[in-house]
This record gives sequence, C-alpha cells and structure tokens, in this order.
Amino acid sequence: MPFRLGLGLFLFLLAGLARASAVAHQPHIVLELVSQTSTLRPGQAVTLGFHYQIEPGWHLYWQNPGDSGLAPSFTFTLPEGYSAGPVLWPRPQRLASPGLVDYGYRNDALFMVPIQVPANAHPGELVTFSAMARWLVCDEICIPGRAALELKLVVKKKVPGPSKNAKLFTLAAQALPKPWPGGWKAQGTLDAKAFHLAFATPDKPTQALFFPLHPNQIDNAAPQEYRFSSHVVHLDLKRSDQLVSGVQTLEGLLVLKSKKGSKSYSISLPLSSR
Amino acid sequence: MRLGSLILTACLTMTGTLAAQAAAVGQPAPAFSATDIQGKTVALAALRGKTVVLEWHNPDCPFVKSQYKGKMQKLQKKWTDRQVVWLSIISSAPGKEGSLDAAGAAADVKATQSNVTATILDPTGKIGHAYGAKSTPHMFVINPKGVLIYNGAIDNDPLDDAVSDKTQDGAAYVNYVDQALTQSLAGQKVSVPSTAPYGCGVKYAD
Repeated sequence: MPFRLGLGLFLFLLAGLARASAVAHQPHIVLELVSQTSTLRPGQAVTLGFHYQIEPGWHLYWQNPGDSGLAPSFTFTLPEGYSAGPVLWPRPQRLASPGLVDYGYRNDALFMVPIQVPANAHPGELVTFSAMARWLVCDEICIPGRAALELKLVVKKKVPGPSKNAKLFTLAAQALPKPWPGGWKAQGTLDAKAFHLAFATPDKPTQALFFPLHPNQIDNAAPQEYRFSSHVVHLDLKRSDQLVSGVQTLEGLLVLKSKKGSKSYSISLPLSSR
Repeated sequence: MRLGSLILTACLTMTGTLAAQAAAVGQPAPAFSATDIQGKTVALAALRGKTVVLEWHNPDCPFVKSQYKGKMQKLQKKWTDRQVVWLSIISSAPGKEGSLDAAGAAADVKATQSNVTATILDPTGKIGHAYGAKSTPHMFVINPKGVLIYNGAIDNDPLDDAVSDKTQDGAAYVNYVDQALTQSLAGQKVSVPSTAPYGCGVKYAD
C-alpha cells in the first residue's frame, strides 16, 4: 500500500487535491464531507461531518479500535481564524471475529467535527474547508484508504438554515454518548483479574456493555458479565493481560439497552483497588 | 444505594469462562514446540540463553506489507546478526487471509528477502492464543531467561507515514522492538514493555 509519499503518489495526490470534491468513492467506502447548515454565520460554530457509507460486510473502527484495526483520522486545513474542535465519535459496536473483538462501525457512520467561524468572517465570502481523511476498512481483510475532500460554504449574516444533510446530524447527535448524570452513583474497583463496575440507574436495562476508551485495559474478547439488582447495573470486565501498570481511572462508554432503546454514556470512573 | 455490598457480591459472579492467562510482560513466556517450514523443531525451551523475537505474520496484510518495504527486513538483519532468534509465526487458519503451506511460506520469505531465523505455521492458532496475539504484526520479545519483556506494536507509526523520523502527530518515531532489544541487550530495563498492537486481526480458525 502506498503509504509513503513516493513521487508518483505525491503527484497523484497533488492532482487529487486540485480536483478535491466533497465526495470520494474508494474501495468499499463512499465518503462525503457534509455540513449541518447550508451557510456560515460570523462568530457561530458550524458542525461538519465525515459521512461514511460502508459496503455491507465491511467496517470502520472507533477511536479505540479494540484488538486490531486502526481508528480513522481527520485533518482539516482551515482558513485563518477558523478552528476545529475534537471529533465527536459515534457510539461503536462490538465486532467479533474468532478470538478477537474490535470496536467499530458498519453500514453508516458520521464523524462530526465542530468548527468555529471567526466573528470577523465577511458576509458574502466563500469559505473552503479542506480535509484529509484516512481510515482502515476491513472485513476479513483490511484496506487502508485516504481522501482529500473539499467543501465550500458561503458566509451570510442571517441565521443559517439546515443543509440537505441536516437530518443526518440530528440523528447522529441524538445517538452521541451523553455525560453520566451527576446524580447517578457509580463505583469501580480493579483487582488482579477484573474491573468490577457498578452503576445506579433509574431504569432496569436488559443489557449493559462497556467500551474502553484506552487499549490494553480490558480483555476485549472476554465476555462482559452483567447483572442487575435494586437499580444497580453490575458489570465485570476481565483485565487485559497487557495491563502492566496501574489504572487510576477507567474511561469509556457505557451502553445500556432497554425496551425503550439504548442509551450510551461517557464514563470516567475513579477506581479503587482491592 | 447499597453499592458497596452489591459490588462485593458482583465479583463472585465472575464465571469460569475466562481464557487462560496469556503472555504477560515480566512473566515466563508461554512454552511452545513446533515444526518450522524447513521441517526443524523449534522449541522455546531449547532457546533459553538467547533473546527471542516473535513476529505475528500475514503476508497479505497491508500493515505487514508496509513494514516489509524494507524496515522489517533491516530490523531482522540487525538483530539476527547479534544472535537474536527471530521467529515469524503465521496463525491464519486454512482458507483465511495469509494462510500458507510450508512451500508458500518459504516463497514469501524469499520474495520479501526476510531475514527471520525461522517461520512457524500455526494454523490451529494454538501458539497465537497462548500469547494472545491479536494482530499482524503483533510483536513479542523474550529475554535469555525465558521471560517476556515486550508485548505490543512494532512501532508508533501505524500509517507508515513518518517523515524524517517524525510521525504525523509530530512525535519522534519509535520502533518499540528495536528499543526493547537495544535496552535488553545492554542489560537495561525495557522502558516501554507493553503497547497496543495495531494491524490486521489475526485470522484465527472459527
């Protein structure tokens, strides 16, 4: 795979950049750089997104890819005064193959990035957002991909209206992990074998799943043992054999499934050891 | 909330489904004995007194191909010249990506001008599971006492686009295996003994 910038690839990329558009068709992937709003407004943030449509059977990876794989990466080249916030990672799913569990996405994924528009942006100005996206797409086999994308939006004084892709953003924002409610108790301990987590929730979920933000903490492929009692979700996660130093805080996503659907929460849980 | 007492009972619910302890840094490396593609027996116990590198291999994986554009062969040469034993292990199940017979694996070694000491076929995944090998290339380093001293990625540049020894994040390029071998052979403690391996998942048998 031509990762290193040989002259041929360099020229190819130059040609590609010159013709960069908002859409890239790559093996097993269609990627589009999209905007939540149809215009920009001085001083107001706009949310852009990398929208992947993934061929059935193939997958992309979460920020912690799990046992194998690689997280996608996104780099913006922005006009002066514009700044990009962190990627808002959608909730992943467990992707199991024999002996391994990865974390990632099938079918469709929108990676949103908030962009701050400077207060002194000039109404009438056409702004170009250039981005380089890189990813690894896998089924049984893996194929790295990269694309230079470009999106142009005009600055206007009026409140920006929704773009044709606004619905994608609404749905993706609803599905983003929420902060763990401050009033809900949570506890975690780590012993020689496992992380033992307990979360107090008002609803009784039917399933609980944890996605660790950092690699080498939990054994990804081990079954996650969960049970519920008196509004407390108990989750036991086998510790990774590669966890050699201590962990003070376990960070990740807690997904609670119930009849009403599933909710996900960002967790940062101080651990006591035993 | 009676979280405290509930947590105590929670730990008793851990079931016996947990896999056997895989290779842990600082612990004796799991023993194995296998036949290499030349028909010779390779037993880890017989290699006591030597430093051993295990490289999980899949010639069709893009991360492996990327390493085999020259970096991996150079690293193998550097350390096998200093009496390090370098074993390439293929745990792809028959019919899955990277699965090769002895002749195919020998052809791969020749085509890539690989400098490994030996190549071991592990189609049942027995050695791979014993070590918890997750991806290709997943790397392990074992010291002359048979203790695992490194478990993880080959380097910190998964996309293989470090330029002038800087990764795209601006960090200095580090080959963790080279670093572990350099430190271990100099009698020092390995400063980064464990990293998250990256690459293609090992194509284990179902």
